[in-house]
Amino acid sequence: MNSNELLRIKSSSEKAYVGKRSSMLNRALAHSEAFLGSSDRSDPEQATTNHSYGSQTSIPSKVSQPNSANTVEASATLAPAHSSVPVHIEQTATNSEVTEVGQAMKLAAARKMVEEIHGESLEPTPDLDQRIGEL
Amino acid sequence: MSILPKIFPRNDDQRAAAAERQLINFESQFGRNLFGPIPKNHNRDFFCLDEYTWIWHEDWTDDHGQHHVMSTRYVLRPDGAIKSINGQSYQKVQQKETRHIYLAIKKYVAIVQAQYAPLLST
Repeated sequence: MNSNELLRIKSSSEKAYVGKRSSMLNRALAHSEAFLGSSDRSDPEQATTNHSYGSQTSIPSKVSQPNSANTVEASATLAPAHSSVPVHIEQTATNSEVTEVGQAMKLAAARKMVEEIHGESLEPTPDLDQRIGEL
Repeated sequence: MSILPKIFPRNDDQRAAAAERQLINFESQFGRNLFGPIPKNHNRDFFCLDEYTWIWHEDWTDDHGQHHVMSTRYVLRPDGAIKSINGQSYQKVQQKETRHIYLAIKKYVAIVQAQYAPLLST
């Protein structure tokens, strides 16, 4: 399903699935704010620095070296995103706005990000269903 | 137009589960791009499994043709985040990584909600 197909959903039952998922995501965001948000506030200098740069992430290169001694830890570390999307967010938002991005981000800005992402890749992952089922 | 029931014409529970999987698949199209370009021969997914659990999956084939899989499950708890890699035991997520997963979650939710908002507002 792509964005256009999503927008063609008309029935209330189908919208209910989307609404339920949307509500769950809001709760997930609230949990992350409550449980992890201090990691963003405890070191504002580091946060500012990391927010600002757009250097190459280490995820792909380290993931592609599965035999290195520290593969597991290094591979599992979510490196700072470097695409235009995160840079766009952080360069246009103040620290307080970043903290409240879930609530404060304007839809227009978010849609712009979506458009940027659309331009990169929207290829389906056929085996994702199977993997979700295994989780 | 009826999309989800056409694809999943089963009982209510199965239909709901299938619809959720399809929405997760939809969301992961955006989630997988939060971390920059995906290398050739790599598959990547990042998505919210439930309100406390986030999945980062990556699989790839190396130069020798060997297939590798790394699936990390992050679980959010009041005292921080823990993770399990490929089903191994859970370990506490360190501060820097915690911050990264937190930022990724915020961006993921903002992007996906922007996709859902037009549908839910009608």
